[in-house]
Amino acid sequence: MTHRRLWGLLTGLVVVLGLVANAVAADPAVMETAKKEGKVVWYSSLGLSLAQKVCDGFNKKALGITCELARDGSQRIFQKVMQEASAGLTLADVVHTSDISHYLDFQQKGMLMRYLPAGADKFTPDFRDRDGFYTILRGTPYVIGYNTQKVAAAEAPKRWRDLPDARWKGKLVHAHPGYSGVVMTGILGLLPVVGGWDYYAALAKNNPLVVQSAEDPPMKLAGGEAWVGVTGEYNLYREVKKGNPVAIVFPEEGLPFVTSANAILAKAPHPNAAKVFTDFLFDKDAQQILADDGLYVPNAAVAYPKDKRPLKELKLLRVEPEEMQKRDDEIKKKFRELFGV
Amino acid sequence: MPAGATGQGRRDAAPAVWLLSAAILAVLVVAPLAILLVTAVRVPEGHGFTFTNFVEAFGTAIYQGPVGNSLVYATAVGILSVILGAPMAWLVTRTDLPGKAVVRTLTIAAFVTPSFLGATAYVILAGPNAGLLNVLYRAVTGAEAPLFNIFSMTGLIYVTSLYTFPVVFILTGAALTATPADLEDAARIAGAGRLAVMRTITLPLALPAIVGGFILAFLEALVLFGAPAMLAIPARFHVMTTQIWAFFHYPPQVEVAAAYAMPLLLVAVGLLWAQRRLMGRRGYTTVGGRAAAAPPVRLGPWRWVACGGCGTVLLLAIGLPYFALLRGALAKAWGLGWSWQNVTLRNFRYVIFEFDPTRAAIVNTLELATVTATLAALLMGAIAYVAQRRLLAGARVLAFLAMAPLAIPGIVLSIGLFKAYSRPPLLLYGTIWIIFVAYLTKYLPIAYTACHAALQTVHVDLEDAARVLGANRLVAFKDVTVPLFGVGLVSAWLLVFLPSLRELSSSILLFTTRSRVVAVVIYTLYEEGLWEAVSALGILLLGLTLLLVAVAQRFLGRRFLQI
Repeated sequence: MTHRRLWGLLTGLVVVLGLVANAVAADPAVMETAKKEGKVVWYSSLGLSLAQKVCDGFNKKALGITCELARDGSQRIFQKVMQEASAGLTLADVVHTSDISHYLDFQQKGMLMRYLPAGADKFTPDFRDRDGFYTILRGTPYVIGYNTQKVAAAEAPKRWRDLPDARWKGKLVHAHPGYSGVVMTGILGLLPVVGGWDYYAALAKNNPLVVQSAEDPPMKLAGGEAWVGVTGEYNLYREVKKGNPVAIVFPEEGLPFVTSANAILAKAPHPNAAKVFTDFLFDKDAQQILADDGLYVPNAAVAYPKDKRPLKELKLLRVEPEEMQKRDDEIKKKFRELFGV
Repeated sequence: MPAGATGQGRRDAAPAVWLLSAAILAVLVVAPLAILLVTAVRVPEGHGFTFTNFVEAFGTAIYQGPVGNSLVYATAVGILSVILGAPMAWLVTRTDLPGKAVVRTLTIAAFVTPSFLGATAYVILAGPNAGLLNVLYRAVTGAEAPLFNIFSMTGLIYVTSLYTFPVVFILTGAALTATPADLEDAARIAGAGRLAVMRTITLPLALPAIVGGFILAFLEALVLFGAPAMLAIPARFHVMTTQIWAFFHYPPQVEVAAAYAMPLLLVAVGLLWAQRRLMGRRGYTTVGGRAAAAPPVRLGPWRWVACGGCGTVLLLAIGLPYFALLRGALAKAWGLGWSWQNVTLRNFRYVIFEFDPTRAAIVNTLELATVTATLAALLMGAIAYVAQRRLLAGARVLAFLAMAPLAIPGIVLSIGLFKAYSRPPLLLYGTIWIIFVAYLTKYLPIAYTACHAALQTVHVDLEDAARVLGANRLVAFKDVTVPLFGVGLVSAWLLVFLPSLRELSSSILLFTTRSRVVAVVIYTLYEEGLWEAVSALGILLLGLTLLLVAVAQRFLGRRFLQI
C-alpha cells in the first residue's frame, strides 16, 4: 500500500515538475496544438515595417503557424482590446504596446495569461517581467531629433528646456499621448525634470504640429516639414540609417526610458500558437531584427550596431508602471487642455 | 383594362413582400436610431435615465469649441461650394465655353474623389514648411512665411470645398438644363444684356437648386470625419465628428457621445426637410427630361477668362492633388527629393502583397462594397416597385423609411449600431457584418432614389400593353419591366458600390482587426506617418473608382451621373 502511494506521489511530482519545466520551454505538445490552431493574432504598436519584418521572420520558420499582424498606436490597441472585451470578444492572442500601465490594467482585470518566454531567466535586468504576466520586449530612450539641412549642429537644441525657445515656433513636431505609448511615457518621464506642466504650456505656445504616432515626427523631420521634434530614439535611428537628413540629440537633463511590454491574453483564441510566437519574439533572431533597427532588447545574445551607445552610458529616467497607471488620464486631459486636441 | 387588375395576382405576394421589406427597413433604420436616443439619456454604467450626458457634452468648455468649429466649417464649405459650383454649372450648360466635356469629366472625377485623399495630397502640397507649393513660392518670392498653411481652418474649408462643389455643380446644372429657355429668350428679345438676363431670369430659376446644393454641401462637411481628422487635429482643433471619435477613446464615454451627436442629427433632419421643400419631391437626383436647348450665351473674349477659371479650379481639385499622390506613391523616400532614382513601384508591392493590414483591407473593401451594393439594389428595387405601383397602402411609409438615413450622419449611426449589436445574441461587432449593416443603412436612400427614378421611366401602361397583347403578368414583368428597369438597377448598384469603396466615417468607430476597409487603413497609415503607403493605397482607390465611372458612363450613357 505505502509502496503504491509512494509511486503515485513520485509520478505526480514528476508530472508536475514536467509541466512546470514545460511552462518555460517550447514543448512538443504545445507545438502540436499550436499547429492545429494555425495562426496567432498579434496586436502590436511596433512600427509597421519593423513589425511586419518580425511577423515575416516568424512565418519564414514555416512552423505551420501564420502570424497575423494588426498594427496600431498603443492607446488605440488598448482601446480596441477593451472595446472588444466589453462585447465579450477576444480577437487578439498577443498584445504589445509601449504604455506599461496597460498591462497593469489588463492584469488587474484578469485578462492576461501567465507565460514566461524561453530563456527569460537570462534577460538583462533592465527588462524585467512582472511575475510572468508580461515581459518587456524592447526599450528605447525618448530623445530630440532635428533636420540637419535646416538646423546646424551648433544651433540644435541640446536640452529639453531649449525646445520652448521662440526660434522653433512653427517648426516643432510633437506626437500625441492619446495615440502613442512612447509619447505618454516620455511626457511622464520628463515632467519632473522640466518643471511640470508649465513646460508643456510653453511648448504649446510654440505652435507645434501635433501628429499621432511616434513614427511620424521622424518622417516630418526627414521631409523638412518640421525642423525639431521629440520621439523615441529607434524611430529616428531608422531615418538616420536610411540616409535622411536627421540627427539625434540626447538631452543632458535625462532620457525617459520607454519600455514596451508583450503579453498573452488569457482568453486568447489561439493560446498555444501565442506561446510559440512569444518564444520566437524573445529568441535571438527576432531580437536581432529589433536591435538592428535601433532598439534595446532583453536578449543578451544580440549584437548591437556599432553606432549605438550602450544603455549604461545613457542617463535614463525610469517610469514606474504604477505611476503611469495613476497619471495616464491626467496626462491625456492636460495635453488636451494645453494643445487643444 | 382597369389599373387595379394588373396587380391582381401579385396582390397575393405583395403583402409578404411589403411586410418583409418593412421589417428589414425598420430594423435597419429605426433600431439604431431608437437605441441612440435611449443611450443619450441613459445613466452610464447604471440604470435609469438622466440628462447629465447632455450637461457633460455641452457644458464642458473643451467640448463647446468643436460645435462652433463645425458650424463655421460647414457654412464656409457650403458658400465656397456654391461660389465654385454654380457659375461652373452655368458656364457648362448655358454658354459656349470651350472644353465643356473636359470640365464635366473632371468635375465627376472630383465628385468621386474622397476628400480625405484630397487632404492627404494637400499635406504634401501645402504643408507650411515642406509643402511643394510653398517651397516653390519661397523660391520665387524669397518670402519666409508660407503662401498657404493647409493645417488650419481655412485649409480644411478649402480642401473640403474642392470635393463638395461638384454636388452644387450637378444640381444647378440639372436644374438649368431642365429649365426651358423661352423666358431667357424673351428677355433677350426685349433687349436685356447677358448679365441682366442671368441676374433677373436664370439666377432666380436656378436658385432652388443652388440653395439645395448649399444645403447638401453644408451637410456633407458637417458629417465629414477624414479630412478634419487629417487637417484639423494637427492644427490643434476639433470639429464635432472628431470629438465624437475622441469620446470613444479609452475610457469610452458612449453616452456622452450619443448626447453630443443629437444636434448633428437634428440639423441634418431640419436641413434635409428644408431641401426637399425647396426642390420638390425630386430630392437630389437629376430632374428628369431635357427641355429644348437654349442657344448658348456667347461669352466673347470672356471665354478664355472663364476657361482659365474652370481650369484653375479643376487643377486645384484634380491636377495637383493626383500628381502629389502619385509622387508620394512612387517615391522611395520622402527626403530624397526629385530625381529618377527616387522612383519605385515598391510601395504598391508593399500595400498589395506585403503588409498584412493593407492586403486584408483591400479584400474586405471589395467584398463589402459588392455585397452592400447588391443587397441595396435588390432591396430598394423591390421597395421602389411596391411603393410606386402603390400595391398596398402604407407604401409612402416605406419610401420615407428608405430615405430617412440621409439625415443620419455616418458617425452618429455608428454609435447606435455599436450599442445595438455589441451584445449577444446580436453580436455583430467584431465582424465585418456590423460594417455591412452600417453601409447598407447609409446607402439605402441613394439606392432608393436611383430605383425610383428608373421606375418612373417604366410606365405601368407598358406592362398593360404587353398583357393586352396576351402576355401573362410574369412574362410582362420579365420582358418589359426588367429590361427597362434593369439599367436602373445597375445604376443603383454602382451608385452604392462607388461610395462604399471610400466610406470612412461609418466604419471608423466600428472596425476591428479583421474588418478594416481601405479607407480605415489609409487613415491609420496616415496616423503613423507612412506617406508612401498612404499615397499608394490612395492611388489604387482612385484608380479603381475612376475606372468604374468610366466603364459605367460608357455602358449606361448619360443616365449615369447625369450632368
